[in-house]
Amino acid sequence: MHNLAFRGLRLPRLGAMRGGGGAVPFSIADLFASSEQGAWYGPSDLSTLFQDSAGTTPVTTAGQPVGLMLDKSGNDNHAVQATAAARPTYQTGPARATLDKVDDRLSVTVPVGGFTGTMVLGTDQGTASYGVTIPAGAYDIGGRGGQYFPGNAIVGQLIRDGALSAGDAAATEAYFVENGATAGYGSVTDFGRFWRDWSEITSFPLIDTSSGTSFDYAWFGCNSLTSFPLIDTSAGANFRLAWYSCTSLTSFPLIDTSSGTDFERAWYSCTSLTSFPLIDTSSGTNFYRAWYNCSSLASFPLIDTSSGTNFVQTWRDCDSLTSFPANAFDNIKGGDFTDAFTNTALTQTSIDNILVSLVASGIAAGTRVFDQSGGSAPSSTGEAAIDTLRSRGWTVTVTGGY
Amino acid sequence: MRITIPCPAAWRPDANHFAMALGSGPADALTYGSLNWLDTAGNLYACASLIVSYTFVSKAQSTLSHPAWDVDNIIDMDAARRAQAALVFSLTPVTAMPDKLTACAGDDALATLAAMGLTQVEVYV
Repeated sequence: MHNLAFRGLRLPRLGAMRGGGGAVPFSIADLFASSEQGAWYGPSDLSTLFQDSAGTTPVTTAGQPVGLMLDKSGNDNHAVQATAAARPTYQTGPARATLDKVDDRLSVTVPVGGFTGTMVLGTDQGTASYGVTIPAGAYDIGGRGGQYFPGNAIVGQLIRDGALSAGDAAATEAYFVENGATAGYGSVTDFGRFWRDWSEITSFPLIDTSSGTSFDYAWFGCNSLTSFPLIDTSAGANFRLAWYSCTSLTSFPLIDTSSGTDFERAWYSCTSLTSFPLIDTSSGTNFYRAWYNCSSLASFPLIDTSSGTNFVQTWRDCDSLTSFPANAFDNIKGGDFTDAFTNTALTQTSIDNILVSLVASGIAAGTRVFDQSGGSAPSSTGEAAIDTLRSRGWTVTVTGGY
Repeated sequence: MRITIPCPAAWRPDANHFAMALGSGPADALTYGSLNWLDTAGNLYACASLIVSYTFVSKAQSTLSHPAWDVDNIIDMDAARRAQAALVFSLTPVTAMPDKLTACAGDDALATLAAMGLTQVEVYV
């Protein structure tokens, strides 16, 4: 049987100094030296890996399943998988537990009280530290539901109840990198679904995403994030559902979205956003439901919609949205605004702004639909714009029924 | 060798008995879980992917015997045999079938599922 007694194990790393350069050699075990709760998994330590969940058959060579990964923190929060088909696979070069992203995952039972602190995750594609709040009960190690994980393999993972200092987090990351984890995410082009449904993440690190072209579903359902860092998204084209239902975000940074073409549902139901920055959407064609149900937004910036063709339900159910700028749609390429402003709170000036801008666009072919409900009816200025739009084949529905 | 097996919704109970008959314990009844995958016709599948030996592949296609671990007789061997009869094994990806357990070899499970014509079910509005 396996030896569960890991508490007190010291693994001094001469290359990683605690606090980022102090005189004391860094030891991950020290992070748990005062009986801190948490877990630490390291597939490079073969003595902690077993093929079966009972811990009777050790992992000895590459290609074998991992049914039990012992917790090296001393807390006995071992990660298990009793279902044979859902076990990760041990591989070498570097030593890691690989995940098929179909069903592979291990489960740890988080003790009463849960973990509120830091998670450091070293993978084959990048290493990063997150603020986390993990409730008591079963928690997936290796991907939410076996499907969503920022990489394809676990090289090292640490979760500690009680936040790590920046120095300790950096030293832990360095330790995992020494063991074969990739340091940064700078080579990743497809971040699709990486952190999907990771509702335990309370803070997200400033990682290198400069090569990322696809961010679809990347932070979908990360509903505990209250802020988001200014990551480099300058190469990003696909932002579909990227921050969908990040319901606790109160602000959003001025990220570079200048290459973004698809913003479908990107900020759908970010219900706590009270402001939105003037991001570069000049390449954006699809804004379908992009800000649907951003119910705390009172105003919206003058974004560049000049490539836009699909505005279906884009601001629908933004029921606090009162202020919308003039000239927002002067240069659009398509006229599908079906339910675009349904259930909003636009002022008369704002709805006039929108209607006048649609006239300025000159759209007189293709789909030509505009819907508004809630808020104020247009003034005579807006009504004149509606007349012009209808003469160009538009179907226009506005508050007040004009 | 890695094999990836989409299990049609209707076959899940039988397929999980089959998994137990080939496996090592009652937890293998959870082999086919959530119906997270969809074919072009709208049929739902639960998928499993695992690394197996050629011995395992041979065993999966041979006469099934009741495993020694199942002293409580929780395995329905008739169900397991029904699932086995629906098993199709291929060394290359073939289109998933709603009336078959199609096991396809391939190193990348997600690529195999894509080649079988399956996409992830997306639950959003």
